[in-house]
Amino acid sequence: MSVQWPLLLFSVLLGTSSGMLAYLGVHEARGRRATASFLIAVLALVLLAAGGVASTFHLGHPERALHIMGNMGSGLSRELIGVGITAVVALAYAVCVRAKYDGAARALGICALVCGVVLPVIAGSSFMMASRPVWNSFTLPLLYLGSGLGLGFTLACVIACAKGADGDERAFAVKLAFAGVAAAVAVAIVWVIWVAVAPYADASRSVMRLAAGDMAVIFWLGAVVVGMAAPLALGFMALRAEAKRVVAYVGGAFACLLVGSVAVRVCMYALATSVQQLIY
Amino acid sequence: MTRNIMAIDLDSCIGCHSCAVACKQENNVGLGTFYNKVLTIGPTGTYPDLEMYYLPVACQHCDNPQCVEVCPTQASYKREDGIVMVDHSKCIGCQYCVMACPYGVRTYDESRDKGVIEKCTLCAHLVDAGEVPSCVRHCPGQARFFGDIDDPESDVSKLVASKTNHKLTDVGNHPAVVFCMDNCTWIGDE
Amino acid sequence: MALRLSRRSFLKASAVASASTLLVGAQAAGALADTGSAAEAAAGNAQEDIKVIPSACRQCYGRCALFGTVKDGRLTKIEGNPDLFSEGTLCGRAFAIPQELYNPTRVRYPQRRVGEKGSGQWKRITWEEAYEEAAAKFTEIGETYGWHTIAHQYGTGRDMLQFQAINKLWLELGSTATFGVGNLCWVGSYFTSQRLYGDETQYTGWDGNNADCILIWCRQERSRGYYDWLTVKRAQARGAKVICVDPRFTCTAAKADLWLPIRPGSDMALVLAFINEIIHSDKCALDFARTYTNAPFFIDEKDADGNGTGYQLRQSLMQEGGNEELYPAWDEAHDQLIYWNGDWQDKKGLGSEKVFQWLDEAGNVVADAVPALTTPSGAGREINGKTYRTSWDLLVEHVTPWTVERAAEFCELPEDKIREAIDIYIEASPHACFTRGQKVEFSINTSGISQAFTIMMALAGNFDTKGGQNIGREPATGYDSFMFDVVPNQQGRMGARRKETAMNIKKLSVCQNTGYQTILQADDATGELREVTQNSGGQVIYGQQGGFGAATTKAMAQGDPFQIHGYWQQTSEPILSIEGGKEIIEGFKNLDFFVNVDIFMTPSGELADIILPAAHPNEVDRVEWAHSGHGFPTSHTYLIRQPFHAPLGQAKDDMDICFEFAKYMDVDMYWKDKYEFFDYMVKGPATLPAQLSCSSFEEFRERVSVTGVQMTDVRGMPKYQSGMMRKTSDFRPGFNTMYRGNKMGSVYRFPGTTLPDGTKVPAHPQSDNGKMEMWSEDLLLYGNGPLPMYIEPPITKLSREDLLEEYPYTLITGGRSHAFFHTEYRNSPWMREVHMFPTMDINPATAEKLGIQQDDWCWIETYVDRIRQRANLTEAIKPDTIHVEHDWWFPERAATDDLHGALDSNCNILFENNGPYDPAVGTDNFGGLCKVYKAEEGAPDNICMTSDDLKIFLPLSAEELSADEQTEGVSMPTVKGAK
Repeated sequence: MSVQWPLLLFSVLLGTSSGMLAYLGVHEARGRRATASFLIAVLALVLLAAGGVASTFHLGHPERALHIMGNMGSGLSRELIGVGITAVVALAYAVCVRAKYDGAARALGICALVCGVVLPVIAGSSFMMASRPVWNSFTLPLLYLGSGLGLGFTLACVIACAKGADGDERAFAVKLAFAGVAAAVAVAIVWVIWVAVAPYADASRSVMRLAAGDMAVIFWLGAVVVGMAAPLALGFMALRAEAKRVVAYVGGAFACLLVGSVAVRVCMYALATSVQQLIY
Repeated sequence: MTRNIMAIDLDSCIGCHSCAVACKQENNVGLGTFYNKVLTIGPTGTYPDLEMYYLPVACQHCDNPQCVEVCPTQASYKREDGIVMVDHSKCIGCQYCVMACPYGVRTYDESRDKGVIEKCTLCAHLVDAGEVPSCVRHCPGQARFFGDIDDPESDVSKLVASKTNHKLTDVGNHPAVVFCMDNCTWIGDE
Repeated sequence: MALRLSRRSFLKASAVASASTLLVGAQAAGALADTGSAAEAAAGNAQEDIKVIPSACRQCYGRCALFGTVKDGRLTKIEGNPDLFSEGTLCGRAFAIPQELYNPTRVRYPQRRVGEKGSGQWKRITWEEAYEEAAAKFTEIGETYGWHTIAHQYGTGRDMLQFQAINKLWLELGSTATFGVGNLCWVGSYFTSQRLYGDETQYTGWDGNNADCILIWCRQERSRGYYDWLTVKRAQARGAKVICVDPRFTCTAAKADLWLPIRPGSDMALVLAFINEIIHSDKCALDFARTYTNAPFFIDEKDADGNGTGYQLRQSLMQEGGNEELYPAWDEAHDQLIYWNGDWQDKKGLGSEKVFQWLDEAGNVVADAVPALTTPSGAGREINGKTYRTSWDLLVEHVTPWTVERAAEFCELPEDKIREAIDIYIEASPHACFTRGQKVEFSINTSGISQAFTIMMALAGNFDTKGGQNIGREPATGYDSFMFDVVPNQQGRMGARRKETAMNIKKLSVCQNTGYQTILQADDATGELREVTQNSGGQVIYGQQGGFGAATTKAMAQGDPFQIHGYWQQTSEPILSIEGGKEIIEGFKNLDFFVNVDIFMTPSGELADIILPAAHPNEVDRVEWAHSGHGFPTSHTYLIRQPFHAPLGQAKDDMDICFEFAKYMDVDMYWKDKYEFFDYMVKGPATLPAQLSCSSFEEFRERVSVTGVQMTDVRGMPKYQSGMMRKTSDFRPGFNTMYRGNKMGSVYRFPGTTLPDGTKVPAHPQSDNGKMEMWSEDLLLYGNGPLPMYIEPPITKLSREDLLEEYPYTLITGGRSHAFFHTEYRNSPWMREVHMFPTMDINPATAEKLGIQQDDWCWIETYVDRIRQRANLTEAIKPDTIHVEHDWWFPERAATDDLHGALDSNCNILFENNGPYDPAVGTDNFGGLCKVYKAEEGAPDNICMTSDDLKIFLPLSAEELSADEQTEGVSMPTVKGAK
């Protein structure tokens, strides 16, 4: 399949947004509100909205979007509802944070954590289709979740640190970011393993296409070097870095993860040939 | 109950592409879009020990259509007689069904009715008028049959009963189109 | 909703539907009848919104029956007519009819070229201007240089009636030269079977409906009448065996029970092995050979000293004062010399009562004579001190060395497969039939191979049997298109100039210098190939009309044997379809005046001075019939082809153009107009059963079709037995042999003619004796045979070892595609979309060796030239062989852009046109040796590469058509931004 850029953008933005909300949720769950939590929540909302707008570019008739609730069995419908709920939660959380309704904010923060974990899973699972063997496994929602955590945690960490998070919080945020990076890398590897073992094997969706075929440059350079090795290294360095360098390292890790996420998704579309491609 | 299906006698198909063009006329299909196509399978083997057959492909009007399952607007739906259709007035062009189809027989048509999904309708408009699809009517090999598979007396049922049956790869969608062939080795999963 | 409509009940239902649509059609027809003009009819019927008109397809030779739906005067839909032989089926080309009708490349108004030749600059003129200019120019050329310096040309328009009109017009005007079309295909078989027994068989009348074996030789289910496949598959379902002979693994090969992947060009070895095995089997039709062929006749062989005539023995050659019409044979029943009396015209005084009988020395009929096929030990019988062998002896001697083993070697086939095929064929005979494609005919031995096929079918006993070959065309009403010219000639209405030209044809033919050629012929005894000199007959097969591609090309381009100055071309594209296209372009540039009549702008049209817009075949009235191939009832059916609407713009029916121009040129066409001939044709002879006869074309229009009868059924015996093969109406048992001898005229066959080597053609009698010829005196006169010889094509691995190092691959051409018919439909968006690019078939192993991948554009290069086609890697072709498609051009390229891309992918420029040619019909060689390599530059420039690009060829709307009156010529679409 050719790369569906609006959907790709949507999923990256949605993942980042979800990861940021999860970041806030984790902090709330720990009982310590994150630095710049309002800003992070608003940014998460903005990214989610931007993703939503991006996704409409995929539609032939966005003006008929109201029909979308027609089939709750459809992954797309579930996704839309998930995005809606998440947006409401993020908005409510932001309002409560700003209004200093601490109890409500904390509860909503837990909700945001749930949304931040569930939404990427919903988004990823909507691509689990029997017709596309490389998509049709739990590794795909896992991929969405992991890359979301990586992107969201690193970005939130950068914002928090830039906004003056103190030593303890900073240390935790950096650990969280590193954990996110590790998760993102791990799920990408798990997905590649799935590609290797997926049923209905075919050259068009073989791991060899990634390793040594037409996707090799994007895979090795984009997904592995920039998307895995670099963020891991930067994250690792951030763990040991002095405060003033954390933003740079984690920021670099985010940027590399972003590139890597796009590269992995490009591979994800490219390898998503249907079981039998007969006409198109 | 009536289950209208297409059965194709591959021993009779001569790969002439008439169905692809008859369909274009009947359904006013734009350039670049095909509701159906004919694939050449093979020749397999090594010259001169060869086998070859032609495989006319289009929407398989599955019993458990994945396209209907994933369609967020119910634009894709299955009629009572088994024909899978797309209601263009409801279609938002999300192309989800295109992804969900295991066979690549749906397309997002920008050439005609912009922004919606196109695919074989089994000429439902003709079926409703008591006729058969244009490709069935005009097939030079008389290889295509259309009718009620639940009626043992229908030509479709008789053909299906008389020859070895094959189906496209089933990933749980249960394709309805039956390919009948005795004279060649079927290539691919069942 | 329950839908219980089976195919059968659907057919019934649509039969009812079609009955009603016929009524609608009949109304339309009535309107046509009233006004006599389709244009007025369309106008008069304007209040009728929708019409469904029964008609026929002319997109190939199949003539499938169809309905056209016409809305507001515009064709909107094509559907199959289930009531006739095509059973409602239609191939893709039929659905492309509207795209042809309203195609942007159509010429709708007469045009005069205003720029250089090939500049693509035209200005609209009136018909009167066009006719007047053409008449003046042609007359000037005729009077200055002689009328034979005007060539005329007719392509495979699949319309035998307009062919007649064009021919008559130009024969009457004294034109002789043509590029030919039939001598690329079909005419070799047609001519040969006409000469051997008086009618065509090899493409027509194979009775697959009753056959136990169908032998299909190099024919795909593509070029004509897909419904033939229905016959074949039903035969297979019945248990009949299908044998396919073809170098390529075609659809036919895939469906066949047995496929013989023969080496290209080696067919003769296989046919000779068939004949050999048949002759030595107990199935050999000895009685047929004895009774109906010249097998028992003695041959006056030429001995080493040059004594003997080489002809069949006549009494006149044996004794002073002997009769020329008496053919000696030996009567086994009475051990005496007997004579076949062939004097049916009573030219030699042998009377009419004893004609076609065996006579004894005293001239009495020997009713119980048993003519001996052979002589003692086949060594000859001594008569009057001289030893003579029979033609059967010579045939047996000729074919006996052609064993299965030798065929296996020549054809590169396994012996057991050959044996199996021959066994199946012999086992099934006399219920075995044979059908062939044209490719066997694209050779310099086309008449020879056709002769061999005739012998094979005849000796297997398959002539006029159930499941065999229905010999002799039986038109629905008894009259076919040839009557267009035959009737006036019978009535002495042949014009003076035509007569004079025919008398002097040896000085006026472009073939006069094609007399001797070197060929590589197999020695019967050893099988070794050796160079021999063949005495060509001059290739003048239609009497006055002579010429074939190469000869006419040389005359136009080089003035050899004389310069051609004028040229009238109708529905043809020689640059693409004839070998040596580049030289043809040179020739066209030499012309003083060139009129092209066509539907579309074409490469050669761009070199014309005037273009006349022809109507589309579905804009005119015709009596139509499935022309080649097909068994009963197809072969016996006439059906209507009537217009869906008036011709666009000022386009006119090709036939009408001929009739109109004939008036400007003062030519007597005999028939007032086409309708007068149609009336004659559908009425048939007085003896025709009433139910087969139509009082007029208008009645025929209302009936839609007429299906005739098989005379074997009516008489309960083969036609050669009941006398139905005789076109002389004497109904004597035997064959029609009136075309033999000098009747059709030729260059070198006139006794007394001096050949290029100085020898004189000796006097020879005509063998118009009612016998089928296997050993053929008639073909001998053309430089063939007299028996079918194995001739290795001029450019093969065997004949040109010197080329192998540089050109290691065998190159074959011309396989048919579903989307096109020769040069046609490259401007049809739907057909091009189904088959976008010229495609070269190459074996994957070969491709790998050459670094060629699927869909790579490749150069195919011979020692003559090179072209580009796109690679298709397929096991269907042998690793040492390459197949390329024929007749490709790119109408999307401009006239100034290589004449619409006429040379990019056109495989016929890969072959030279310097001979050798088939001695009888002039067919050239269209296969050879090549090398192949990837074209780094990719596809040719400015061609359609995607479906989107093809939008330029979409039909013009009614508004667009009326808005563009082509005052500055046809605005040819091009692809913007194409490579």
